[in-house]
Amino acid sequence: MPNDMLQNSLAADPPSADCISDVLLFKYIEGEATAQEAAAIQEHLNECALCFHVVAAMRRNEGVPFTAMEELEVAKLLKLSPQAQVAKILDYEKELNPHAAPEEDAEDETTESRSFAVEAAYRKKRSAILGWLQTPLVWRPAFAALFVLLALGGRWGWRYAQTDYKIHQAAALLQKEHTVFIKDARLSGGYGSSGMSVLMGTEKEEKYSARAEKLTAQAIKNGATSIPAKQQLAKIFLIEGKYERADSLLQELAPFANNSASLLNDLGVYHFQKQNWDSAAKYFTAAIAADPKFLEARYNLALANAEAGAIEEAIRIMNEYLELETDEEWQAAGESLIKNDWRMKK
Amino acid sequence: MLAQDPQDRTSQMKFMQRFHGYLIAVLARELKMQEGSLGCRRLEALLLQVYLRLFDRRSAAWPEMQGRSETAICKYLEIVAIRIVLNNTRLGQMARKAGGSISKTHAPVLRDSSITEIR
Repeated sequence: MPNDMLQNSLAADPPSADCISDVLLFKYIEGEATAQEAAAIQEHLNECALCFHVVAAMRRNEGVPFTAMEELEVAKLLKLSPQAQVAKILDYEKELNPHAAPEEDAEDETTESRSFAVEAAYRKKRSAILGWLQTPLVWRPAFAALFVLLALGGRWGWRYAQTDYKIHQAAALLQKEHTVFIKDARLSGGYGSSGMSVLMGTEKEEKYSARAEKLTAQAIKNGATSIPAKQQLAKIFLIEGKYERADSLLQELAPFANNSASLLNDLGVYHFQKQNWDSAAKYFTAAIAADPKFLEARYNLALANAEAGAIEEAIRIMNEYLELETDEEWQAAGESLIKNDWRMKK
Repeated sequence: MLAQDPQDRTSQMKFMQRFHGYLIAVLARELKMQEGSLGCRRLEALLLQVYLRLFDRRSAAWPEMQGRSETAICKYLEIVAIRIVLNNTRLGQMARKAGGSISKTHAPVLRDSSITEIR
């Protein structure tokens, strides 16, 4: 293809032997042609449609600046940057003209080529702005709405990262690290059992709970005022044995606890830790009433009864619990309590 | 501004940096005027032809642009660009087939642009 182009480009100057050359036509238009030349050119223009078209087109374009729409159309059309286009064309030109000058003159990174790149970037940016301005009016509200949605989505995402995500991280940390001594009341959240041998308050536990506390506190500071955030922090205080701080938070949450089995259960756990067995049993019972399938509360109720001396009742509740429980570790823990602790006491 | 040799790469590069955008716009306008549509590859091919013409040692184009003002160079480039587009479009082919005779091709349209005003 390039060779054909070369032939075409040369053949077109002028298009035929009788045609006026570009240079002469240029001189004519610029008023530099002699009177004799001008007369000959005018005579030729009367006969030659091609040359006449050139002059007519020049006349038509004279004083008509390129519109923004025209510039935009061209900018959209060209896939390459101006610099890349120039490089491509120079490559073609080099291929077609074997006598071309050596390349080292042009290829180094000069200030001019850098300024060309800057100009290209400016043009691209300008086209983008023009593109917006020339968008059909019907689409503008849609674009504006999309922009607002994106802004709101970004704001929501940032807020989520600062609040709920931190709470989620803290909860995941507790889920991963926290294990419950089987004779201790279980906080809501489905933590694993650690059997009889676990040592509470190890260095590891302090580390993860401190991290979880920090994350949750940050989330609350950043505006997470939701009940789950405060409940999460209260649970961490209970795990850390900071009962006064846990109590303060749970008192704050108590008015919202009516229908929340998990919150009622955690309130029960607080009373259980404080060895208020009757109060603890009351909250665990309320939790079961709010959600009969809330297994932690049923397990805890059995423990509270056992601690209060109602061993028969404790065994009955634990058996009910064992029928519902599907986790093998907790099943084994319940059975162990009945068999090794409560039956022996009885 | 321009070196004597049209094959001088630095000079070619400088020339293209200055007039590339203008040439594209002129070619695009003329192509659209003649064919009603634009194509990226088409435009690129035409652009290459213009540069080949300008950078050809056998052509009078380069010497002619020496010492000219930018406005004059733009005018000259416009002539070259229009010629190249004509040479590559159906309109030009029709005119050439008709032996360049206006009466057999587009006389009414072309005659409307009063040529006498050009002087």
